[in-house]
Order: sequence, then structure tokens, then C-alpha cells
Amino acid sequence: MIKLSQDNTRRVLDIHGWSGILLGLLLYAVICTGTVAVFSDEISNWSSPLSGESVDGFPTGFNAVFKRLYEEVDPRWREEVDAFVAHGGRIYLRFEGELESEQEGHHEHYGVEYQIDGNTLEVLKRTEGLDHERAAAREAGALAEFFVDLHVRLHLPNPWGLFLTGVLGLGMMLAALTGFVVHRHLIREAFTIRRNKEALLRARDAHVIAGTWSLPFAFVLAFTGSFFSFASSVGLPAMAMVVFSGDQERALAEVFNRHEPYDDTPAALANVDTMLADASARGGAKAVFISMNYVGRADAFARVFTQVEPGQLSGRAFDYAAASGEFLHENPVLVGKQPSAGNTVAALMTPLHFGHFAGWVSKAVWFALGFAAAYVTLSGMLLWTLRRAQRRAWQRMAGVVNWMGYGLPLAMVLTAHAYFWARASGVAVGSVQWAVFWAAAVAAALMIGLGSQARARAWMIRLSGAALLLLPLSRWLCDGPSWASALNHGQQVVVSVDLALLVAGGFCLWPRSRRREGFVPVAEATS
Amino acid sequence: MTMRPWVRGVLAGPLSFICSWLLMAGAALYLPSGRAGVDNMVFPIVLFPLVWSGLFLYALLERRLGRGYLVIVALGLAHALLIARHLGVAP
Amino acid sequence: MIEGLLAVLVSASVLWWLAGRDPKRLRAARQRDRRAHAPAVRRGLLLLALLPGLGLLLWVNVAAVLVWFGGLTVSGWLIAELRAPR
Repeated sequence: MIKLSQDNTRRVLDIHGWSGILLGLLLYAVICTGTVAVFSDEISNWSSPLSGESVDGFPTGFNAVFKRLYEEVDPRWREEVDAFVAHGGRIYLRFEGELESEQEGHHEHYGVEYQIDGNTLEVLKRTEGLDHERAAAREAGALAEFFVDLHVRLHLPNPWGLFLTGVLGLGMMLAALTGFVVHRHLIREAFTIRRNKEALLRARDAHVIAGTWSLPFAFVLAFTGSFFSFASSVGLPAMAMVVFSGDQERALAEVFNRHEPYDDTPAALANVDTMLADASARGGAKAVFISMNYVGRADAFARVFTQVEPGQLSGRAFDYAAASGEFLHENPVLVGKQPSAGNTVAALMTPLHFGHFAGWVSKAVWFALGFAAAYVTLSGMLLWTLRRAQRRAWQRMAGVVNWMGYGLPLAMVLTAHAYFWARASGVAVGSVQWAVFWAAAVAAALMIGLGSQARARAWMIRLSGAALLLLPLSRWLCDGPSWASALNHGQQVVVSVDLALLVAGGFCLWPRSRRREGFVPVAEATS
Repeated sequence: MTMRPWVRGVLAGPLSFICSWLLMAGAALYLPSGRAGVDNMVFPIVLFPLVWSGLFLYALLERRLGRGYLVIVALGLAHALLIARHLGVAP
Repeated sequence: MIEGLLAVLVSASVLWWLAGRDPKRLRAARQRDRRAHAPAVRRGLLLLALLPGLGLLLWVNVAAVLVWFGGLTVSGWLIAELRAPR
């Protein structure tokens, strides 16, 4: 066990507090949105189900649609072809090529994307344009994407957003490590919450006990999170620069095992359905993603990714010679050309961070872990400001903490309402979501600024509760399926998410005495 | 002695970060690359957050600030030199 | 994945029992009439709470262990909250 002198204990406690209070506000936003993003697939399936039976994976018959659309697409955009299943059973089929950009020597990804109903195989939508233009057209996933984008990069441009969330992850790791070092003797108090004592002690217990229990996973989530942020924004460019002497293309080809072209003789593509079915059989779970290069040539190549097999932590990847349909080999799911210790470790990061390896069970657990981490962050910041409540500057900071702590969840729920109403009225979903999110943030700031913090906080909880209760209604009014129709079509996700929202809303509105609440008003603490 | 917290802060923040970056990039040149030829790159990338938080805590807890600077700068410089030699910039 | 959930249930029940006569908690709740667990009993119960995880690791799979461990930490927090003196 690490032994610390009194002086060092003081210093570690300072690091813990300051890293928490400096990074805590943004960290809280990253954690809250990340907690919701655990269910991003469910959110998309719930918010945009197709009208028929729900489908999971690629349906048979996709091959014919694929080949028909392939013929339609301008040959310039056939360099890379991929397809994946998402957002309530839609198949996204994407053709991409390089477009000479206005800046000399620069290339941009340009292409055509089809949205296909996985049930009827009918084309729902065709979008042509640059990456971001095609992404904006994926309205079915826009709500989940909003939360994911906020979580991953706080809506800042790349690589700065990733860089910032990476640093936030480091801050969270530091807070967890230092929290453990200074409070480790408190493990003996893991069951002691003194709600019958004065405000400061109650706030301290609430923070420390939640922190003690969630410490191992807070560390894991922070570590894997900063890995994801830094791997692409810092790690890969560093490796390209040093190991591959600046050759980014070769670095990517080497690390992700991209196949080299070797024969451009024209050749037809083998049956896509057969390759998908073969991969599903080998992987023990449905194929959900296929990526192809050099389609239309003898050296055409396809890699098929399957979902996670029950009991496993990651999905698998299988390579095919796409002209003949012949199975080549199983590819490591993440890095390298063959299995390696590095791939095993890197592949472990995904299930540990996302928690979606065992369906709703692991997702529910990861959601709870995220909730606990958010609680620890918020209660820690409130405790810090409460300890310094006599000073005006810290009273203002307490207002900011309350604004973020209770205003953010409210803004997130209102954004979901905005999503449905924007889609129903045919306006650009992305911009409406952001407008409503920021409007809610400003309204929350006004509530805090104009009245007492405790009252504003209580109102924000009530409003969040009401907004949660009304969300299923918004969904249904904006052309969403009723419960009966959803259940008839096997779309249990619609009813489950609705019920979860109603329970969460009820929890927010449940009357409780002021003593029992985790929050302690500043006035009460200082009196 | 009011400068001390800043001097320590610079070591713990920016300098430790740069040192971890150099350590990550440099370590890829001497770590074993394993069967698939990627281990030397994957492990430094995965360990980067841990290395940085380790150096950060070390910088804040080292009693003798001078020694803290010496250790972190030396570690960074050694790896910088290794990278420069690999890229053919240094002899 | 039902094994993982069952294991959480078993471990959480043991934690509930452990928390019920936790000496620090009893002192904070001023329940002097209830006898606290002896240190040996506490250690035993803690091991008992961890046992399902070992079982999952040996006979089921790592995915179940992760679900169990995540569930265990969250239920520990919930138990501490639920058993806090009013």
C-alpha cells in the first residue's frame, strides 16, 4: 500500500479537488451523454422504427438490390463500397470515391448513399455528396448521433474535440486514482451514509460512498475513453510519423490490414448474400457490416463483420475474395494481419468502454455505471463548493455546477422532443436539435441567475420529469407507432424505451422531503 | 517562492504530456512487434493515458523539483533522440 | 447472460446482509442494540460475495464476469443508500 506523508496527502487531495472542479463541468457533460449513448442503438430503433416487421441483420435478397444500385452509380464513386444495418432495420449502402477538392492536391470523400428498408428492400432515400452531407441525411439516427457527438467530441471540430475529451478522460483517471489514494481508508465505511447529520457531512458521505463503489469502473471507463480519444487524434498520427516516416496511407494499410490491389481485369462480383450468410455462420452471430474494395475487378475484396456471439466480448471479421466469393481467412477484428497480443488488448477496449457485448443486460449495467459516475462527479463538485460556501466566488460556482448538473439533463430531454417535432414538420433535424439544446441551456441559466439556486434546481428536476413523461406522447404524435402496432411488428424496443422514460419521469416527479435529497442548499450548510 | 506552483504545474502539465508523447512514439521503435507486427505500436498507444497520469502524479509528488525536471526531460530527450536517429535527422 | 444477473443477485444479497450489521453503519445510525458482525464474519461474507464471480470465471465466460462485477459495484452503492439512516 502506498504510504503518504501528511504533506503529500494534502497535495493529492488538492489534485483531486482541483482536477475535479476544473474539468468536472465538462466531464459531467461527457459522462451524462455517454451514459445515454450506451443505448444509442435502442434510441435510434425507438425513435425511427420502420413501418413493417423489425429486421435484425441483412435480409436475403440484398444481393439483387446491391447489384442493381451498383450499376446505377457513377463509376467514379465505386472505389469503396460498404453497407451496414442500423436505425430500426434500415440498410445503409454507401459508394465512395475521391473528389479533387478546391485546394490543390487535396482529396475529399464523395459518394452516393442509399437508405434501404431492410424489410421490403425498397429504396427509401438516395443522397449524393460529401461525407458530412450524407451524414446529415441520416435523420433516423440523428437523435442518438447528437448524444454520441456530444460525448465523443463535445461538438468541437476534429481533432480538437477528441483531444479535449481525451484530456477530460485523463482528468477523470487522475480523480479516480487520487480519490483512491486519499480515501482508501474509507473502504471500511463503504456502507456508512450519515443522512441524519448536518449538510456537509451528508454531502461528503454521498460523494465518498458513491465514489468508493464506482471507483474500479470509473477508472476503466476513463482509461478506455481517453484511449479512444487519443488513439486516432494523437496515437495513430504519431505512429505514422515515426514508424512509417510520415506515410499515413501505409500506416493505415499496415495497421488495419488493407488489401493491396493486384489484378484489375474486369470481373463480376460474387453473390453478396452468400458471403454474408457464410460470415454469420462462422461468427455465430448476424453479419451487420460489409466493406468492399476494387468491386468489379478480379482482385475485389470484401470484409464482413459480425455481431458479438453470446458469451464473447467482441464481434469477428472475415475476409473474402469478392469476385469468386471464396472465404480467405478470419481477420483480427481491429488491428494487424493475424492474431496478436496487441489486437487482443486493443479489442478489449471496445467492450470495456461501450458495454454492449451482452445485449440489454450489459447495456443496463453500463448505463448504471455511467449514472453512478455522473453522480460522483456532480456530488463532488457540489461538495467542493459547499465547503467554500462562505465565499461569494464559490457561491457563484455552485450556481454554475447546479446549472450544468440539472440543466444538462433537462436540455437533453427537450432535445429529444425537438427531434420528433422537427422530423414531423420536415425541417433540418440537426440544427433544430442544437437550437433547442442551447435554448434550454440559456433558460436553465436564467432560472439559476434569477432566483434561489435550490428553487431553480427543484424546478429543473420537475421540468425534466414532466418532459420525460411527455416524450412517448411526442413520439407517438409525430407519426410514431402506437404500442399495439409496435408490439404487433415485433418492435418491443419502442414500448420498452417508452416505459423506461415514464419510470424515469415518475422518479423525477416523485415527492420527496428535502432531507432525503442528495443536494444540500448552500444556505442550509452555512447557517 | 511564489513561482514554485507554476514551475511544478508546467512540469506536470505540458512537459509531462510532451514527454509521454515522445515516450509513446519512441517506444514503438524498440518494443517487440509481435507476430502481427503491430504490438510495438498498439501497446504504447494503449498505455499513453497511463504513462501521462503516472508522470503527472510523479511531477506533483516529487519532493525535489529539480530532480523531477531532470527525470522527465531526460526521459523525453532520450526518446526524441531515438526518433530523430530513426528518421535520419540526427546522426 | 442470465448467469451474470443471477450472480449479481446472490452477491447483492450477501452485501445486504453484510451491510445490515456493519459496525460503522450501526454506530452512525445509533443502533447500539444490534450486535455488529465480528471481523472474521465480515471477511467471510466479503469472500462469499466475491465467490459468484469466481464461479462465472471458471465455468461460464468473461462477459458474465464483467456484467457481474459492474452489477456488484452498482448494487453496493444502492445498498449503502437504501440502508442509510433516515
